[in-house]
Amino acid sequence: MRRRWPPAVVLGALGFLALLVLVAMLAPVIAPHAPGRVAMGKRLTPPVFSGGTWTHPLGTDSLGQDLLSRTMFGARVSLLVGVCAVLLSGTMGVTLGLISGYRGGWVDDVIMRVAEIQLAFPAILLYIAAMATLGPGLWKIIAVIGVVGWVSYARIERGVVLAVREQEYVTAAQAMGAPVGLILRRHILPNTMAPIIVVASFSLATTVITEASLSFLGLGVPPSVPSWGSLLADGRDYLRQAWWITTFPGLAIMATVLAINVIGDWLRDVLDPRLRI
Amino acid sequence: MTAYVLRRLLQTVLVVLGVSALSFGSMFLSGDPTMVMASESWTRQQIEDFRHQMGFDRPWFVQYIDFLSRAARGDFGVSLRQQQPVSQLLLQRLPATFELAGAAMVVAVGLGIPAGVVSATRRNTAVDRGLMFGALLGQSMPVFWLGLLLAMIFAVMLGWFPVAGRGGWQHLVLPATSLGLFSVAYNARMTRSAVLETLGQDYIRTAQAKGLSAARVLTRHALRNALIPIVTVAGLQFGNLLGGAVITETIFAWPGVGRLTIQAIQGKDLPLVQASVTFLATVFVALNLVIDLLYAVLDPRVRPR
Amino acid sequence: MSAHRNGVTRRQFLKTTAATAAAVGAGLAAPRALAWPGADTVFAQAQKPPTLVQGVDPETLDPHFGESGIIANVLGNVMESLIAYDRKMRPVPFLAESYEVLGDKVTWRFRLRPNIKFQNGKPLTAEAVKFTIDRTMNADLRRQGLNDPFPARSGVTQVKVVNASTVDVVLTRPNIILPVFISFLYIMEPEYYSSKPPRETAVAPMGTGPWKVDEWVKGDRLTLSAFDGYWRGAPQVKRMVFRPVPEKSQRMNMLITGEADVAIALSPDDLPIVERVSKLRVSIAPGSRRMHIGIPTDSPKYKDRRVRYALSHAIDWEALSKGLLGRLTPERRATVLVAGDAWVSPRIKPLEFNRQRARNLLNEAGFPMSERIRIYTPVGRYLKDKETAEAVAGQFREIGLQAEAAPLDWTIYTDKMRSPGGMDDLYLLGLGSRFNGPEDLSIVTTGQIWDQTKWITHTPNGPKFNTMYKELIETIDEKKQRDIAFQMEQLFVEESPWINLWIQPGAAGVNRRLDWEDSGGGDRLNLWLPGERDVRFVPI
Repeated sequence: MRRRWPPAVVLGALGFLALLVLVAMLAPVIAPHAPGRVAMGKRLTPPVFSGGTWTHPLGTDSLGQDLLSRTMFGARVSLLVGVCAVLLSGTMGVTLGLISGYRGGWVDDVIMRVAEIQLAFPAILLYIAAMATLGPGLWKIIAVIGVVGWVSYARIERGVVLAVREQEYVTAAQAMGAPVGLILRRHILPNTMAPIIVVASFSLATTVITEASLSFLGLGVPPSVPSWGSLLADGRDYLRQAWWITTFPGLAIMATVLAINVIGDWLRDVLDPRLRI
Repeated sequence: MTAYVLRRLLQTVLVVLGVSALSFGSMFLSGDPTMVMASESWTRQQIEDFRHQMGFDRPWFVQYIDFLSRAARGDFGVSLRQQQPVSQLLLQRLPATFELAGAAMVVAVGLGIPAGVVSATRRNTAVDRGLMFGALLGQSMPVFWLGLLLAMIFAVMLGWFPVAGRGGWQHLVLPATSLGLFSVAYNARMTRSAVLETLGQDYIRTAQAKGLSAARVLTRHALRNALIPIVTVAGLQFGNLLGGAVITETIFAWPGVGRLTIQAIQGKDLPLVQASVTFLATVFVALNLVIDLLYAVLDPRVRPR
Repeated sequence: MSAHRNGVTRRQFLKTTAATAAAVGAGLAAPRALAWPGADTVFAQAQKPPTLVQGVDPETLDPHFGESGIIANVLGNVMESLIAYDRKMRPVPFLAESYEVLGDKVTWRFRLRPNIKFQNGKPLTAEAVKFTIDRTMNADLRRQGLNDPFPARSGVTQVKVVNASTVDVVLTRPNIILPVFISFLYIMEPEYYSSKPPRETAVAPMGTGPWKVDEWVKGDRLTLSAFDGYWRGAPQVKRMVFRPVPEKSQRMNMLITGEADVAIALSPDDLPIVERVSKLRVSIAPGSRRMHIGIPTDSPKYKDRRVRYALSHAIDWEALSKGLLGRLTPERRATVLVAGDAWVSPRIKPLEFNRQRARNLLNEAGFPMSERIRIYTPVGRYLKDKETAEAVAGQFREIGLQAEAAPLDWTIYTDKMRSPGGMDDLYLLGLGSRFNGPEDLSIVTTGQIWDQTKWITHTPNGPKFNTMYKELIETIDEKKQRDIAFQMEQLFVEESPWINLWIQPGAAGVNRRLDWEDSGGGDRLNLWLPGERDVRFVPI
């Protein structure tokens, strides 16, 4: 079987993401300044190519904090929120979908009704209501986005489980008296991973944007934590005086989400063409 | 068919009940609602009076039943901060949000679907790749960033449109575009897939073999069948647009329900928040119901046995 | 593909499209010719009413149900009070011609100006004053959310109508601060307010002011129109529009395009932008917010007075204020506890910037330098609040303290203040002032939630301050008032529970076609100050 290399664009996206993760992990080491280092004398200095110096290649914000360092640390936060939220939704959703699909009966009904009720709210409204009640916080926002997101995973998982559970190897295993847990783990779960991965990649992209939007509204990470969203929020009053404060985090978000979407598209084409978007 | 309609209606009612329960319950999540809404300068007596006035001293299920029965009559209580009946406040602002979401839909559908069709018919050409990349780009931008950028460029620098507020059609352009762009991208990509899938079907090849022009094949056969999933998803988007309007309304000072909700949250105006959330969710649910029924009418395959 | 059978040839289609596109482009590219409300042509300007933008809509226009700067910006032009403040923040008799406190010390007599009418034609009488004050104590309305602090602040027991133009306000105890509270009380027309439920009065106020509320589309625009029967004369500007625009950068954008004429509460960083636009100018006003950092004296860290002195000595005030406020930097004040030159004791000197002295004092007091110091600050509540806390923390670090700013959302910040322990570390706050010494001093007496220093109960001078305060508010003689106030300030400064920053100035961006200026107290949209002319268009 011939293995085809993914198209150049996808390779580029993968490379970018790998670099991003590396930067995020190594940020405490490679960032030129501490992200929280205030220097009131160096407020609003422009990037190096626009009249600034190499000490602050991307310029500084209204507190004199280095934008490059903050953007690097922002990558940590945004990626952390994205990955953790996706893991949370994924775990919850896959588990519930598995149970729903395998057990069937009233359990299935209940879980699906709850899903419907939750889907009745536009997601952003749920986020806003929840964060407004709980107050800003890094782990709170991960929890909220994570918990709200279980539905898509559950439905996909359930669909695949329903299809797979009638397969011969499953009925055979059941006939042999294998414990439920083993059947689930060994036979059913692996077959459902492909579409789940696709869903996960798209929701990672939307989570990054959601975090940015919520931080913009003041309902995301607390004011002291540099996430790309809060960097954008910080810079919104300085759009004319210091365009760089919003531009670089904005570009970072765009590039990251674009890369994730490109990879997600490719994954979908490769793993499960049935899933249109 | 009637059975299906009835079942969906019943489901919707259940869902609305669930929605109301959730939004009612959320009020108690942040602790004692009386303390949340109370002003700093109130005396103990005033706080207790207020608690009694709002009925917060009753058991929760009594409060819930009361809430439901009043909601059924359209009475969502009175906003503490604005002294207006909440339903009135919502109804005043709803048209603005619908106008915005509607315009964004027009943008999303009017730009997205043709783009997707063009892309599909010119598959794997530069046009296709360019459009699809543009679509991906559109899905990667946070709405508020886009909005501020558009305002800066088109309102201030070029002076083509007003900066903010509601007025004539010129006031709609920037907000609708920034709200709808994400959906344009989504629609374009989805339309492309749907059309491609349809084009690959046997009956298309049959039509082509019969000698029909490409244009006719497209319009007569492919589009009509591709329309069903397109319409469904496009319809569902309206709900998402309603939600996304919150940010756009803030940036463009649009007097809609989204901004009202945010202000209510910031002002801790609990009756308003509760009603707002229930209201919006109910609208969303009703919309879904309509879409589903429409879907069932359009595509006989979908109607359950 | 047949070129003609389908009617339109490809070439024709392309030509038509190109032509249409060109036409549309040309139309769009000629913005000055289009007459939508944002167009900035001379024609539009002459006709267009002044537009004033602030961040949010007032929540209500019934002054007994809500109190905020936003509400005052609108309502202050529609309703009036017995006493008002002029540009220099001095109280002047306004609807009242004169007032005095009677021999029993608890009765204040107000004599009304004659011939003042409400916007519905009814005359201003003593009855109206009585009605207004009585309404603040109306139990029924209270249950519906009425929440005016006047009764609690003033200690009023009853209001007596002496005759049609004279009214007596009787208090439980003497209180010389009454005029300040009276200045917050907008006088209401009795028939109107007794016949309309809160639902209506919340959107349609009835006062004696120069403009009346014409139309209010909530969230969009609030239109005022001139009251030609106004007692100081008919206003020149016949219509005005208030618009709520949440995004600061958008408010600036609207100033630049001409869609807005006045935007208040600008930051020093915005000023260069405004000045670069030829049709705009900057209007700077001295402010009334007393920015300070409070030190909780009940915390073991800060019990020792020397530590508190050290914190003030550690601050380079010049660099701090210039860095943060730039052109808006006000004159340095020895203390910001009291605003208004008349009330500040001349004997008080600021604690000068001296790092060495700071370190010495900390040493003497045995302060553990490894101890973490946090400066709680709200975000976006005051001009440069977060930046100020960060900058101060930075300066503390320069002398070796482990200091950092702790930004909090405003609601969380106030929740913390109201929690049982209150503020457990340094906190940045900006308390408003009405330029009345006793009222300013009241803020740091017992039981005030805004004072988290707890100094009254935890420092030697505290109890004496409290006692003197009780004496002060009953002292009628003005010279004696000043003496006591000065002594109290001395006590306060000795204990230094506040790090004094500045009194926050206000800056507004104004379109040159208006001759309006931001007034003392900063960021107030008062369009016709006492003793001055109303806002006008500048003749072209």
